[in-house]
Amino acid sequence: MSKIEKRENIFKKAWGHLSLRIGLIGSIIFALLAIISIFWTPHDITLLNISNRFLGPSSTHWLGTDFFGRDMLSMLMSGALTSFIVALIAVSIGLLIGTPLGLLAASYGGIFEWLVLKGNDFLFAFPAIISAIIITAIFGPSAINAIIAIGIFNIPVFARVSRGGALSIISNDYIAAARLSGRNNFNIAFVHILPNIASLLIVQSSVQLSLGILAEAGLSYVGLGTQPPATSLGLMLKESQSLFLLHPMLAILPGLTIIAIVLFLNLAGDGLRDALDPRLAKQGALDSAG
Amino acid sequence: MLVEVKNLFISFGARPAVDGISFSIKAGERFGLIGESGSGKSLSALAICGLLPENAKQAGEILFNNMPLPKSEKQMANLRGNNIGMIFQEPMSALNPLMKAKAQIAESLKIHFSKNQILRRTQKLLKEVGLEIYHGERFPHQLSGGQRQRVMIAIALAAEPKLLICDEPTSALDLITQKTILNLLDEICNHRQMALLFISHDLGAVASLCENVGVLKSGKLVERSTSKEIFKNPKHDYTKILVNASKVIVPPLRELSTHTDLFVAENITKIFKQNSLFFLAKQQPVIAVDNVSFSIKTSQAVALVGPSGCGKSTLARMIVGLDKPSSGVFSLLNKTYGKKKYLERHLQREVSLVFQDPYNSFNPRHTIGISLSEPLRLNHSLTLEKKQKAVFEAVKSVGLSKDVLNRYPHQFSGGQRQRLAIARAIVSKPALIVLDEPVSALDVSIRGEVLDLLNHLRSQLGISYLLISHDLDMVQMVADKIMVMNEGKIVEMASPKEIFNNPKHQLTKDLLAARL
Repeated sequence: MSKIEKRENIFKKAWGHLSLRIGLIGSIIFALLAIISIFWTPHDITLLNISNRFLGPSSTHWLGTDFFGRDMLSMLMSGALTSFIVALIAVSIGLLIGTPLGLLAASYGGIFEWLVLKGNDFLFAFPAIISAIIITAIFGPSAINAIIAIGIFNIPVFARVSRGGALSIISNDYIAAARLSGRNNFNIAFVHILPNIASLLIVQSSVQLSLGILAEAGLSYVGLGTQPPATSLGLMLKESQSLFLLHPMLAILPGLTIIAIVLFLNLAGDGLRDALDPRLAKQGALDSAG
Repeated sequence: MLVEVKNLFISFGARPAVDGISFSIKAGERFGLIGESGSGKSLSALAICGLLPENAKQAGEILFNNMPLPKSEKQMANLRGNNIGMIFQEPMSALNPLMKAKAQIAESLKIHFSKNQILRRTQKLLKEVGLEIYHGERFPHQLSGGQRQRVMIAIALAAEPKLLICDEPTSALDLITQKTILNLLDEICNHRQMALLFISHDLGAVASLCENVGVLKSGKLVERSTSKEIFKNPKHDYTKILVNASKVIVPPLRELSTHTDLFVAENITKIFKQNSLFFLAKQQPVIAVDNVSFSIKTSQAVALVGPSGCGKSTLARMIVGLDKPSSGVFSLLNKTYGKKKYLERHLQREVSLVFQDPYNSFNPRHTIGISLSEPLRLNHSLTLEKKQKAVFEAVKSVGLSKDVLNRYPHQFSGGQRQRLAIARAIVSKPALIVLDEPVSALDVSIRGEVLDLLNHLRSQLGISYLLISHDLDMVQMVADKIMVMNEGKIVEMASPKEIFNNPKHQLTKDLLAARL
């Protein structure tokens, strides 16, 4: 009875969650800024204008200009775009490879599950960022290699989350019922288990997205990620570090942008977890006591 | 008056969960509260202890010993510690898994007594609840369900309370253990002159223990009377349903149309190997099912009865093909199986399973229509139209309309869900349905209609049933033949009449004696 109301209200209730609201609005604003930069930026960032370099904020350049005279706002917008794209693709790699691995490990069990778990442990044993540095160092620094390096370390995260979620689902009677209806392990994993762990995966994705943005910034900062003339938030930090004492705004602005994006994504992730995970919901008291 | 509840309201948000109930319990009186899940009976008990969840709003008055319940948490804790003992439904989760039983009893004595006294009193309490001293040395997982509940009772009795509140204390136990726990409570209340508030959905359990009974329905106290009066002369409609549900109506034995065996189990044995730890000695394998043979005729309903852990569910899982026997074969419609884990499609169509818990047997993310049509995958030759027709027919024959198909499982009540589970079991038109405790998760008032439905479907469709249960009364209403199982073996097999009038095995006699 109360469960019906609960489901209908889930979006309304989620919206009432303060950190989710702040996180979602913030993330969407930054994502929109990044997307707009594909079509339009206030100034063209491929045009250098040395005579205009190191300008402070003004009505034409809202956030000033950098050491080549490029508009900082435009730079930040397209830098954020690169960061988002790298992180998004990296998360997708983890989601698309890790989730099936975890699901199938849980539903098949046996040697396959053992292999997946040991593979996970192997990847987890190395600090992700160090390994990413090794990968990009071997295959050459580029945005694509950064994506692959970050993506590989998302695979075990999603495999583990989806296997854990699947194990708690698999003991339900409806899985046995599906088995009696002739569904095989593969079918059960995707038709029955996946829809039930979707919320877990959504929450994990938002957390991994923010980690991906940090990782991209880290890789670009040490020169192994995005290469000029393309730009990214980490690359902007790197390029401005030698000028930090003279023109601190050039480093502070991309730094603040990274902080804000990561913070908003984490807030949204926390809020989603609260809204989607029934174990953390407080209003379950009636069901348990009644 | 020991406890007086006056016009108690409890609500979560807008909907009241307890809607203005009043009752009182004298010192030494035993009062039973009956109601189905969600009727507010547990909340009323929690309110007396001052243990309502934080987000609950409470109005009305509760007097204990003619004094209103104290506002401060400290005084309330004092009152609880000295005057009220409470026993919960699930003894495993109410006990600390890392503490020995005696330590948990001693813990509740600490406030009142010195060290020397605690030891003596712990032993005395263990004895009073029918346990030996060595049981006190065990951890909760080393005790059986009944023994755990005895430990819980000992803890509740430690402070010599004036009122003992029991919230469904026996519904997680099997029938024989339930009877012994009820007898124990009876004895202790007599001996200590203690008042008892007994909460249950089971009219029989309440009536056997309490002199006065209150019936709760959707948060309202609809009837209050002595238990004799309630049985003899129920006034409210809901009480009538409850009383009728507790009566056993045995349908006349039906003539079987054929005498050929539809299903045969031959020398079925299932052995579970226990994993041994690396250095420790190998553990003995557990024989869950031990050389069991029986047969089911077309359109016959056979019941398999036994206490929990006797291997009946393991047998059911093997029959439907979720597991394979260690040795022995089954045959259904003259085709043998049991060598491999899953059945071939054409054979799997002929046998289906209805699960115990209707809340757990549907995928919450799938519509009922998707779930119900799933077994039809076993028949590739069916066209989409034929599949649709089969689903419509199945839903219709369990008494629901076809617009339920677009809804999700959470939109149905427990009884409706069990109907839908039965619909799923018959949709592929099987010859045999295995029903694993089909009504034990349902409220008493709707058990009767599900059993009626089963009888109706059998006479209409000619399906055979294998009915698995621990409840002889329920089984009697459906089955033509009863098999009693104990420790993996079938110890008695006879018609219901024979079992009830002339039980041979000791377990059968115990099961019969445990009926309330």
